[in-house]
Amino acid sequence: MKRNYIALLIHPYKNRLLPRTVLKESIDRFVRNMLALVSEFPHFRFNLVLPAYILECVNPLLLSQLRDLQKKGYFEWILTGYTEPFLSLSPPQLTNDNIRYGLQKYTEIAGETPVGFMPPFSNFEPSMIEIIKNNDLQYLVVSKDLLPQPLQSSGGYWMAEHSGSSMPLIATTVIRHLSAPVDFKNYIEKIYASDKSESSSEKIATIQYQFPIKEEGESDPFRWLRFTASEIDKHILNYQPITFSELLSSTLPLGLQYIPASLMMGARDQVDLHFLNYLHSFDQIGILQRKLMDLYNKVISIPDSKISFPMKRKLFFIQDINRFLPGKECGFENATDRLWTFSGMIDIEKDINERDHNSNSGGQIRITDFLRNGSKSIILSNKSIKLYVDYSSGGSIFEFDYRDRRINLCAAYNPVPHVRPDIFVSGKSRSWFQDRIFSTEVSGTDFLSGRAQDCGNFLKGQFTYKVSKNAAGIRTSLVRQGSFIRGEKLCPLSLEKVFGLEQNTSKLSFVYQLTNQSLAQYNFRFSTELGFCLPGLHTGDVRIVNGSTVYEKIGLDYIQMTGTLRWYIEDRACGLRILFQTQKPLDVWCLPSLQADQSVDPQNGITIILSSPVLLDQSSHWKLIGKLSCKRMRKIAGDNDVL
Amino acid sequence: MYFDSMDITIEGRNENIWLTLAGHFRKEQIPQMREKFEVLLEDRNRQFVVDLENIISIDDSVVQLFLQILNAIRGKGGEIKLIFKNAAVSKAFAPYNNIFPVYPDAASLTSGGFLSAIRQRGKLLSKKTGIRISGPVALFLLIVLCGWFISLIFIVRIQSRYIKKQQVEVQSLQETNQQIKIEVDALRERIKPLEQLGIINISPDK
Repeated sequence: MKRNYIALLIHPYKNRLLPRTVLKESIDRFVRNMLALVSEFPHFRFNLVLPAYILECVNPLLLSQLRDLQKKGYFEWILTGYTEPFLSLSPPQLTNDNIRYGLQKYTEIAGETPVGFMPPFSNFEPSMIEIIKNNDLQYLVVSKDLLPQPLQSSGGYWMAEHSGSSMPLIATTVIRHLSAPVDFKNYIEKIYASDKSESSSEKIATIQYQFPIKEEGESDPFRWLRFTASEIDKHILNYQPITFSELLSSTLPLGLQYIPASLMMGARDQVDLHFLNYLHSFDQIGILQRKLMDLYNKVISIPDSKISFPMKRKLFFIQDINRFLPGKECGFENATDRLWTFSGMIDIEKDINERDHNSNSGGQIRITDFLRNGSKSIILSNKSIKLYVDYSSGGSIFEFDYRDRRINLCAAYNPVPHVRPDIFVSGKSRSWFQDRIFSTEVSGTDFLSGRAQDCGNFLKGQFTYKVSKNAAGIRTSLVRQGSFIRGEKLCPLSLEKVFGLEQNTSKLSFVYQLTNQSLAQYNFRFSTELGFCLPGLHTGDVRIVNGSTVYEKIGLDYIQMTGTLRWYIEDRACGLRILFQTQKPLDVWCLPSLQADQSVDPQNGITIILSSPVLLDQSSHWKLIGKLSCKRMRKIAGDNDVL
Repeated sequence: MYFDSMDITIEGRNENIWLTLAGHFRKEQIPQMREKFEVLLEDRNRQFVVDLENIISIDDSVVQLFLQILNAIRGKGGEIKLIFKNAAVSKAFAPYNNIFPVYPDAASLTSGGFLSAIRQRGKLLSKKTGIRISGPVALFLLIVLCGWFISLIFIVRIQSRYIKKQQVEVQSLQETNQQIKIEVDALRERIKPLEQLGIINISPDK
């Protein structure tokens, strides 16, 4: 009787951040279930993919039993790396280190070095073949959706080739626990029937079964696995379960395949060859990635590997693909995930900064193409604060790291995607100090409803910059000779803004100077917008205090303060107070960030608008001096240990 | 010039302003570099170190800029030091090596001989102990300490000379003593027959 092959890949995934204890419980439960399954169905063979850091969490007693099973050939380990690196977004050398460390950990913990590599989310990168080969990995596992449509039904494996390097590539049919086929036999027969290739007499079905490592809802992912194992056991004369290595050793490749860089983002999503354009049309992801690359360059420049390796290990977690994909539950759209990734990177940066004693005297100014978009960013930093200024587009601050709390306060998110894959779009991305000129009668509600029309050309305009450093600190001065429309006339107006850091304090000083060089009198409302992302927004732990008035429900309601000189935002969840002080009284409008459907979502952060009516006589100045100070407070909860 | 290919880092280290430049230094970047130095000089910074080691390529006219900057800084009583050893920058600066203070790396800049080592040590001790002493006071204390040591050595030398003299005297006295003893013994031997005859009695108790 003809026996067809079934190569089943079991893929428990962890897409969201989990506390360490929950992760340990979940992986132990998974291992217990797998041990029970194998003892019940001794003919069952499968492949198992797990990142090495999850394997580290397995109870040693259960692990020894798992090792025994593996030694007896019940299953084969497949590697994703130490964590699940995003191949297309991470520096290749960091991914290489991640894979190498993963292999090392597998050898130590599982007693076996995996020979198969599965890029998470089928994130295939042709150039990675060389790196994977150099790490003694022998084959790749991806989704069948990466193959051209007519070839997706062919069972077996292909040879993927790029620039002279080739490697076996096993394409699997991905099924998820919620939509797994009820009638397994019928399903598998359909797969065999759809394979019209006549390359071999035996048919091959390569199936990848994905389910969350932590149980979600009431569905039991193991029920399908038990059912499948029992079906295979029942029809063992027809179906031969095999591991991937057995598949490679017992069959010939189907042929060559040239697969472009690809990514499978969801069950129903088609493979998009321009997925990087798509990803970068979202807010914040580009900044996260650029920061990761910048940080990696700093880490590899540390000559002592004893110092650099723990930092690299942290970077392995930061380059996790799940943090760099859009999603409400997890991913960079989720405020917790976004702030967690920023926090990890700020932590490493702080560590590097503290080790580099030389650069501590009075701050540092860096002028570099941080966004890698061809225009420079100005980075001002001291011991407590690091801020990134984009002078070429609106002269706003697009990242503000408060190092003492390891938080990027400027990580607010606009869910409306950019038209082009620009990392930062002034006026759309939530940054700090986005300047607008309104007519005098405009109010906060007009701004919220979108009725307020910006009459100026400062929001997206290019500024010229100067940087300076003296004993008092560092500062950058941005100037634009712009204009605004009054009636139908274009009125010239010069705007100069200065951002400064005082020595190593956690204070950002800002100065605005508007100059009327014309002979006419100007009367308008000047406003500057700041977008804040705070962890306490979605737990209701943020409040605004202005004198004796306390405003709660921040991020949900519209708040207006008139003629205020000194006020502060307090986040009890992360233990932080941001104090605003200005020399002139300002009107402060606090707006909730809206979703694309205009619903309120505190995850996206809040928008603060500082505004003031301005009356400028001919050839005169209007000046605003202010200070933003960050202070640590007591936290409600301690630091979480999520992974 | 919209696409700017050079990265600039400005930071303060040990009362110097360090400018670390990396990438391609093209002539289009000369005005902005000049402007940066002007602003830094306006801010009363006088000691500059420019690290050009990570410069990949450099336009010949950039050297002229540095000559102008050197003049401007020296005119205000300051100093500029350059750090590089890469081929591209070395070639551009070769005709002016005797004008610019050039160091191969940051380490050689800080290791400036014995006095510099003492200064560094002093700073380290000052940090550790929290005691800060001004230069003249340190010099005065050094002179007092040196005088103290010289006086001590002088006293020790006088003392040792005196001891040596006494040792010589003791030795000569000991020698005289030995000679007298020998002479006494010889005299005793001579008068021994007279004593045996009972003519004289020289018993020790008498």
